[in-house]
Amino acid sequence: MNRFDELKSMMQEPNIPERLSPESIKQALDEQQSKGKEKTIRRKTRLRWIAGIAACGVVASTGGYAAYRAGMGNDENGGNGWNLLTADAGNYCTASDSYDAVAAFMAHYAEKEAENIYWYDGAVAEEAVESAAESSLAFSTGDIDSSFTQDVNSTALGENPESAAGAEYSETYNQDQGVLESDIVLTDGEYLYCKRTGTGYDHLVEIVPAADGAFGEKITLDVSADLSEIVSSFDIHSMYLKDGRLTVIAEGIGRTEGVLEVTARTYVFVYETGTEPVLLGCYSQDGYANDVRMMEDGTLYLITNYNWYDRYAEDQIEDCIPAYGCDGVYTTAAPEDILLPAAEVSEESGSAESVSETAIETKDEIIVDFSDSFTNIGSINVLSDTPAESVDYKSLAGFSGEMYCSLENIYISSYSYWRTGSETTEFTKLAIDGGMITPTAAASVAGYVKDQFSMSEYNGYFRAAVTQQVRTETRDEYVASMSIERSNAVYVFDSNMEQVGALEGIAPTETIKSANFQGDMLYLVTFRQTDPLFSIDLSDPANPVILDEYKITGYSTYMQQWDENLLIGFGVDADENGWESGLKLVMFDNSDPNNLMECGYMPIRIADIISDPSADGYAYSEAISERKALLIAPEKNLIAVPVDGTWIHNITKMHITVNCFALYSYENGSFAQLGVYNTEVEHRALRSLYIGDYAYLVNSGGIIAVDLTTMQETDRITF
Amino acid sequence: MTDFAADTRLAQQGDTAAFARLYETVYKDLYHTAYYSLRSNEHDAADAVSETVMDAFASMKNLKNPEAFRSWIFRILSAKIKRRQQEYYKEAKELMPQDAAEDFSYVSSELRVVLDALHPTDRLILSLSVLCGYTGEEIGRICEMQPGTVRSRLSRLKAALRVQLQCE
Repeated sequence: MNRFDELKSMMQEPNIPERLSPESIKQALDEQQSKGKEKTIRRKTRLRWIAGIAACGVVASTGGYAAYRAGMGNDENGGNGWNLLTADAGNYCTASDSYDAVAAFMAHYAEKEAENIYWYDGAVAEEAVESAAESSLAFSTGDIDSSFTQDVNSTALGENPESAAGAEYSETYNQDQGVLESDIVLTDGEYLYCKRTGTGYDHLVEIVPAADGAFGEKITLDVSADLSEIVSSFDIHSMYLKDGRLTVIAEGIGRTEGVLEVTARTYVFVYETGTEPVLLGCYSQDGYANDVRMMEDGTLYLITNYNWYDRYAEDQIEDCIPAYGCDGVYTTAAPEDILLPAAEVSEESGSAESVSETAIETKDEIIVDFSDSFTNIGSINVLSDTPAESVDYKSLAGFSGEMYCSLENIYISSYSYWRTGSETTEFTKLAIDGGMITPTAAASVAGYVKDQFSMSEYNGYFRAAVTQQVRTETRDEYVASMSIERSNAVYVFDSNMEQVGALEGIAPTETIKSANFQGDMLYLVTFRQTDPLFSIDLSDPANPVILDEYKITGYSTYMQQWDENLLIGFGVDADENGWESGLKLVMFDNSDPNNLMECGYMPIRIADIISDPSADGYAYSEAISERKALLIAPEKNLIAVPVDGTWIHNITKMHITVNCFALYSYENGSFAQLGVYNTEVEHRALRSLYIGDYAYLVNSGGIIAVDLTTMQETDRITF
Repeated sequence: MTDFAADTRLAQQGDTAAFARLYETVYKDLYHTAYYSLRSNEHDAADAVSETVMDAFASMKNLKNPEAFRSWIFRILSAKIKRRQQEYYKEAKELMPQDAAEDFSYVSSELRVVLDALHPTDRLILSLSVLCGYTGEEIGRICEMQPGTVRSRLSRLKAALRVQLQCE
């Protein structure tokens, strides 16, 4: 019996409770029906103990990284087969001189990979045929009208005389000014462009004219209809609206029946908006969509993760080389555009905190470094005459995680988990200029970044806030246990990615929940039991210092500057013992970073949401994990939060679910709840935006329009 | 052999027997997925499954494609599990599964330990992969995550499980 079967049979061991047997379930459904209840949800709510057990024995881990690094010098695995790649040792980003070099790289890792997954492969193979059939069926039989469905006589796009043209409208919030981020719901002030969500709908964009709180006839754009290739699944990732062009980024996955191999490609469709969207071109690039950025001039950088191991065969390297193309014509990446890690570690750089030392020799100590992947980076200009034509392209060995983009550089983070129980993150810096992509330098730190907001570039310095943890396993004959040592740090790198400053040992035992860089300042929220907001001064890159620490309960998962003196935080509420109780909005006064103050706090409680003070429930929000779900619009004094909660009816004692948008304003040190708007049953609240004096609340089933003067719902459309 | 199309139609009209037949094809995997995703807590796992069933039955009419019943109901379960996981203390901690002593075997004890130390999301992903044979893309759809994220987590898992197994 191999390990996979062991794992599977172990997981199937637990006996299934009698009340879940098909008979019991039928009986329960029958009873429910006879009581005439439409929907019964039994759910236990409880207080959540989030501070927990781990108070014991936690030590800052800042020493751990150097310690295990030091232990790596003796590793013998490196070098083998690597003599081919003897380019500049100090440079991580070594361009291949031929496909032979790429082949050597792949052969090395393919061997490693084969060792790693031998027990795992069978698992996927078992149901591969079945799921292949299932998946392609699901796609082709969906009862969704293909192509355009436009109602005859509907108002033509762009010709609505009563439109709110000229009215201000909300745009996706960008971390850095001029570096545009994509989203699933957008507006140009006249139309709402909404990506549909949910299985079977992920290839559709609903285009809905909205004027003065009323909706016109919608158009459904089936993006997959514009794809010339056959794929078994197709998901829209996100979209851009820029100067009359709609750019849709989508992932298509192709699968051959009975074969494990899947091909994933990311497509960028560029449409001219107008009376009806007209496709101008489709750029494609191998790999799963990771992230995307656009500049004001229309230059778009697409980052995809491409797994070559799935299709690896020693004698057919060409099948593993990633490709990119325009309108179905593909170009295989040239050797010089494929960047591999340097083969040799020079003696001098062995002790430096630069990336060169994480090259091949030490790579074998990494448990997971996704070396069976390439990070593909391609650029196009969606505003040009040939919007789908490739401008530049690079493939970088390794898998990419969170990325950050400034006006001049892309920083790609790549996470590794080491045998020693430590974690490291490697940042690769790529200079970008009018679409040209030039890898310049890289650096590595212990720990991981929470998201893009944990990274920032200012005055040529790159700064990253990381949570560092070292897992230590202790085991005796019967029991193994895992303890985690945790701490946080901020690192500053110069333009060559040499580390010039560090602030380590911030809030031992805690993890970073949100970060907000503003010029020389960093505001950082960590959490275990209470929520310290740190203000950290980075004006001297060599000596970052903590200026102040302000403790309140709960933690913010996202922060954004509200006005010049105020920083708004959204996140999880908790009491002083760390019991999580729901959601909260909080306002900090950061006009004096040496003296942070709280000036406004709003718990988002079910009781207020459903206007029933006796209701006991728990509120959760999509925005906890996706900040784009929040609308923070100081210019309208409007904050919109999608809320998804459960509560107990005080008479029937039934657990009820609620999906809604809660709207707030802020004035003179306090938040006020403006209104709550429920979605249709079962539909998730997704995004909020506004055009002029109307808010449009987009959920997975439709859109709700709200007059921001009266706070009354004015219209509702169903997708 | 379950006639998915016919039973789906019947279940959509409120036929509980038809629904039970559909349910029978998935309930073991539903429960085991919930069980491992929820830290081997059988009560919570059973609650999550029964809530899933109630919600699924109530919203059967939303199921357009009978062939997709399985991934559809797992999608509902995944939401239930995630909601519960939020209620749990998120940190990996020392935890002996309640029934480890009863059916002790060295290897499975090792596996349990590894499983119990996993991040909640990883438990769900691992369960869906191992028990249900879903690929990264399918898990991505079910859990509403980017397929790339699922893939990276899966490869981390497979490596972590194997390496820790080797440690003996």
